[in-house]
Amino acid sequence: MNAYLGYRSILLSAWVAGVFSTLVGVILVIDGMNRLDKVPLEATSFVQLREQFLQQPDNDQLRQEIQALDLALRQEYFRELRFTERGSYLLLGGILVTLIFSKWAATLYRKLPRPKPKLPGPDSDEVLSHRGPWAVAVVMLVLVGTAWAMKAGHQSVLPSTLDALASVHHPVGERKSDGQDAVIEPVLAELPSAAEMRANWPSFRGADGSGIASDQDAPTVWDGESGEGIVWKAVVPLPGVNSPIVWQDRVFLSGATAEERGVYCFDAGSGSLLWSTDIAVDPTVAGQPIKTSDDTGYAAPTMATDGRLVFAMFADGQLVALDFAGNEMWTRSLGVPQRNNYGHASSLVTYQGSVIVQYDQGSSEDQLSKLMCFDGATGSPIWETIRATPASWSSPIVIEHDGQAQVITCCDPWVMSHSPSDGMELWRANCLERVEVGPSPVYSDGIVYAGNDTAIYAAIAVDGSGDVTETHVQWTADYGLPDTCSPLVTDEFVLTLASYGTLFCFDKQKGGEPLWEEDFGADFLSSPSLVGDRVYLFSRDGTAWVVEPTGEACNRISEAQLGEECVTCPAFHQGKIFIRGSEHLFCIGSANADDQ
Amino acid sequence: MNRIFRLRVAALLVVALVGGVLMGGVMADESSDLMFPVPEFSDHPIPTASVPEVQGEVAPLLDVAILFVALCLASYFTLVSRSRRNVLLLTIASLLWFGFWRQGCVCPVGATQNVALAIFDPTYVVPLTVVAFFVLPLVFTLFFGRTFCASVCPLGAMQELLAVRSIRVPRWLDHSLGLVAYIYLGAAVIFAATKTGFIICRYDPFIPFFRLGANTDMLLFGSSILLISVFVGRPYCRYLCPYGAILRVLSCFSKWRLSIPPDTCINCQLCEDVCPYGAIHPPTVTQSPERRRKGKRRLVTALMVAPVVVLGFWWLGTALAVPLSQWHPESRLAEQVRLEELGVAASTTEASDAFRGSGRSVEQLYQSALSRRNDFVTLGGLLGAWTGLVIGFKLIHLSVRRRRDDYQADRAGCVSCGRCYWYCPVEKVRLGLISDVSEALPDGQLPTGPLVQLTVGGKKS
Repeated sequence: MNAYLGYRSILLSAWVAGVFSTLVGVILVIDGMNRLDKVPLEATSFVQLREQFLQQPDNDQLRQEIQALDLALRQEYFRELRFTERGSYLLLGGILVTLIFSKWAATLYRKLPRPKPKLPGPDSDEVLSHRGPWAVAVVMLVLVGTAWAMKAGHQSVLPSTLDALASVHHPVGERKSDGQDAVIEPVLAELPSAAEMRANWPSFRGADGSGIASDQDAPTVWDGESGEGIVWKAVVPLPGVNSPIVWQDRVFLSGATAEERGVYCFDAGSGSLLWSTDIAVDPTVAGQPIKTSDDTGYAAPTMATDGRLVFAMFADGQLVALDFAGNEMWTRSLGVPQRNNYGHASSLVTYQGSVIVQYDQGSSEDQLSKLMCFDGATGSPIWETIRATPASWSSPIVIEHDGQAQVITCCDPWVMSHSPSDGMELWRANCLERVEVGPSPVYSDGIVYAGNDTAIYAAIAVDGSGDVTETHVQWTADYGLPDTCSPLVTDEFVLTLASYGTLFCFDKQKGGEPLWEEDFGADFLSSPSLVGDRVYLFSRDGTAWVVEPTGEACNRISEAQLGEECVTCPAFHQGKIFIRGSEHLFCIGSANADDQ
Repeated sequence: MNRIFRLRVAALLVVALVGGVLMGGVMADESSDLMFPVPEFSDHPIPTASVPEVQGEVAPLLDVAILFVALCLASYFTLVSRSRRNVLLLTIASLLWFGFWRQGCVCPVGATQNVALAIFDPTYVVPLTVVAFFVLPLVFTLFFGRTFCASVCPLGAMQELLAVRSIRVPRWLDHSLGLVAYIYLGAAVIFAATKTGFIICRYDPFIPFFRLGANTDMLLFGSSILLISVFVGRPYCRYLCPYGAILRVLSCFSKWRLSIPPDTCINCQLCEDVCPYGAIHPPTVTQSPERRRKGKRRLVTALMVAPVVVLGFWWLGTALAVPLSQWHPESRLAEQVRLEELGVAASTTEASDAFRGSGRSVEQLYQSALSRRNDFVTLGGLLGAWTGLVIGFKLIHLSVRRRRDDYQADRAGCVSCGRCYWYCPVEKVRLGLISDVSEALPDGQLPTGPLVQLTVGGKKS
């Protein structure tokens, strides 16, 4: 009886100590969680007082208040630390008492196990030798996965070798292919200004994706076969339907086949290939089937640059960044696009040192489509927005309206705006119901112009929020809509180009019915561009027209021949036109255009 | 039912370990101490920085002496007096002294890194007391088995006291998870040898409790390990401890080691499920000729696969030069400075500010970081090869069958805690608590297995 009472009292003591320890533990956890993000000298009142003091540096009273609050905050912090420390000792003591009494009680109550006779079963060593290797194999797989994740998650911004390090600090020419002493400056230390971006051609259809050149003049006559008006033409090693981008004296392109992919840098003055960098297929997607079509191929997205690095993307979802010397800085596989009928074609765009990817794929139910933003220097993801939209082939643009930057994208059925800083959706308009979206949006004077054949064309004010379909759509048009080519928006007109060869002109303010339409009798995949008042059109067979639109008619200025097929958009830079044909990169202009 | 239960246990264990490791990764990236700026307007006198006085020689020698005595007592209690109570008392004493009083430093587990650094860097002078802490448990293990783990190691002691509701981890899972400790050992040696960091100490989950303070991440990590310890016996010792990995190997060659019965094993099965560490294995059964043939084929396959695994992991390790080198603070600084030079870093850091104030050139910093990265191509390869070697050896080990005629403690896995003594009827006869083993057997059950005469060393007489 006494033994039983002794056991009961010991067990009760263990319970009391256990409950006490639990309570102390809970209090400590709650207290600790409350202080997780609490930094004493970042208290709101303290920060406000300091800001006030910066405005009134001679205010002695304010100075004393700050001093007193500073002291109080520090004392509070150390008081809390002492609280935690004493609580920890209490917790430790409580746990020890709990354990000791529990052990004591368990010893008093201890009974021998009563194993029942066992039926003959598998020998435990046999089970071990059978299952053990498989378990070890799983550990091996986990280790390989961990290694891969470590490699993917810890990219370096330093060059890969000591030799390449020299190229970061000194002009390099080692990667040139033609034996000439090409000089490539180091990458810029700072982000270029908006004016610098506009002066170059850093992404698809220029800095703002409008297809409008900052130059006021460009050649109107050339002949690719005879060489008339052609400054140079250079063979592009691998095929691709991406358009050239230009930064200062360098022209960048990418090319790829099912087996190979590469990024190329040409000298804008001479056309010599300064460097070419082969991009290895990411092992995570190697061997996977990649859907492409004749119109897209394996290198459809146009590259982008922020003046410091160049970014390229390929049909298998591989995104790569290179410095201006052609060194691969990082690469990231976004996974092979799923259920994308024509292959991935959306071009890249940069914003404040980051690179933005519109990665639409699958159906709207799949929720595979994403808008993603990566740190340009490291490739680390900054944000990612999942969109319930099917595959699309349109490219994003970054605009600025009333001091706020927006990423505008087109997809079925929305024209959408997101913040490029955090990916939050700003507004959306339903204009692209059940269409395979190809043309990219264009922004001009507070309005985004977007649309697609078989849907409508819409002019949408960009100052809305939420669903703006009913509130911010200024006008619509349902005739003369493009299916592939992006529109051109001038001061007065909206020009759309149908792939079957007809150019339509709408009133920029009213939309509705086209003012006129002009048929060129050719197929088009290249979007129209504007230099000064002149519109440049490149047809699929290489014929180009330079026209001047008015309110009444389309005045043809000239017609020229590239000499080979062309499905890409031209880049305009310092009086020259850079256009990619099916085999060559052309520079159109006069050799001394820089001097003009 | 039993199978489902085991799978659940396996899943729980894996999730817990992965969670712990992930938390460790997060800690690596984000842990930072709260630094207070100096008060700007206060009259508070700013204390001048002072270097703590050099510790006298008495305290370290006392520690070594206490370690030696504790190891002697642990070996005596385990192998000679066979007293679980004394082992437990020594465990508590070790926890209080080496853990809470000495705050977990110096300990043999961490001393591994000092010794590794001293071997690779002749300029580093390792204190003799640290060497003694590293060597003494190894020597005792060679003679007496893992008596250090039993009741002297403060890390093991903490888990030992918490092992109150242990579930049995399937042996196949136990063996595969045990590989992590060897890989951790390899990584710790490489990081210590290159002065990248003492990761065993940095990620010691028990230090927050010994020192009653740590950042939240470490506290959570430590708490997770302790919580798991309640249900899985000694998870850190079995699946993470790098020093334990060495002791496991040495224990296989120990001259004497714990034996469950003091004299004769009667195969009563009473001890089978009492070991919280799954270190008691039942007798094996005779294999059929077909199973024996399968076993041989398995062994041949393992022997052929092992070199391929070593080569594969060597190659994998060489590819990890960048992430491994970025564990070094100077390499991380170089990356930060480079980001700042490119203009993409959001702001400077205290380290990069300090670097710019040091007068050292950026080129030197980059050169150093790239040179280290090149070194880590080789070192990563070595770590990979070591990992492959451990895996290959484990595959071979799993394919070799060992015969047991009675219940035996696993040579490598037994931590000599002595929990099994109380359950052994033969031990009760020795202690005079009962006159015959049949008194301890349930419901008059008689032992069914062959009686085997054992000595203390576990060898047949």
